[in-house]
Amino acid sequence: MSKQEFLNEVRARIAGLNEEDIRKALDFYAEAIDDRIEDGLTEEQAVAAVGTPDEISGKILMETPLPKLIKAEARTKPSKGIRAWEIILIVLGAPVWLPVLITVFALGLAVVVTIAALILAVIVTIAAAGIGGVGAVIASLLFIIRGGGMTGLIQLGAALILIGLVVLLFIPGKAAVLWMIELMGRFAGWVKYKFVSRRRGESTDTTYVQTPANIDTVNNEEDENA
Amino acid sequence: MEIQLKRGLLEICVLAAIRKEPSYGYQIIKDVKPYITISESTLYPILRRLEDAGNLTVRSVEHNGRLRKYYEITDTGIKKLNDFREEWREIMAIYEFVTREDEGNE
Repeated sequence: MSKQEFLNEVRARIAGLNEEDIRKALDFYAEAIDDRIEDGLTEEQAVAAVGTPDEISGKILMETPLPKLIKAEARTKPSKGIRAWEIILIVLGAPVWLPVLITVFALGLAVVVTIAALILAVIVTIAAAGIGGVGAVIASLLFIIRGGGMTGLIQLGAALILIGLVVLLFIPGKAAVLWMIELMGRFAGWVKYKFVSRRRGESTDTTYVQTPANIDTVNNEEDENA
Repeated sequence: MEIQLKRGLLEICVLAAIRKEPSYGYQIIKDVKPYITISESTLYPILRRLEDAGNLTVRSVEHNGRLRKYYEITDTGIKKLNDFREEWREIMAIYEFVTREDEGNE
């Protein structure tokens, strides 16, 4: 594959990102190829050593924030040219795809809301026990001063147990909240991964045969896609 | 190697490669390659991230009738490298501790 073909392939796969980002990425890879050619490789070898368009676009897309990706997706769609019958199909198919779309969206939202609700529940529970405990201590002290006697002491004991519980629960509570926040982050990452891999699958219209990597200079050993 | 750790180490390696003097993509890869697996597709996002974080600046320099981008470390970048050294000292202490435990079990 020639340098220009290669750059076109990469461009097709990251189309829709803003022009600045695309230009920067393409400049970078053009320079990488030129430097290798200067180092004595043929154009063909240099292109192969830099990596496959799929690999490169994949990394770029995974680095792009999700909102930008969605925007890019929206921007590339119309350029493919929707035919009249496709529009008719989309409209007629609405009873089928609309509920599906809504379901998928609702499921995603449900996951996020559930986790957020759990986080809130943990925080509210601990805070409520804390505030309640302090309030109960004050109330029972007042009660004892007014001659509440035995009942007042029992109340005070119960209030202190409540405060003790708060102290005990604080650390696991905090850990649980942090864990759930991480869980949410992972969920977002997963959604993004699905998004990127679908985009990549779409644009493999030209088959690319990788030349054997027997080049002695810096050729990319598959970096186990970290 | 664990992903997050590798990502962090790669950033440090790239900064170390441009510490003495500004360098360009292919040279950075050649310099870092003996120590950690790196390719263009990995390097590009790292450079962008470091640039966004203000750890390096980019400058285009004419070379053989084309432009080549040189990456220059900033003060923030140097600070990041120094922080890494400090941090690593602690990690080495932990390493000592962990390996000593191993010997004790044998």
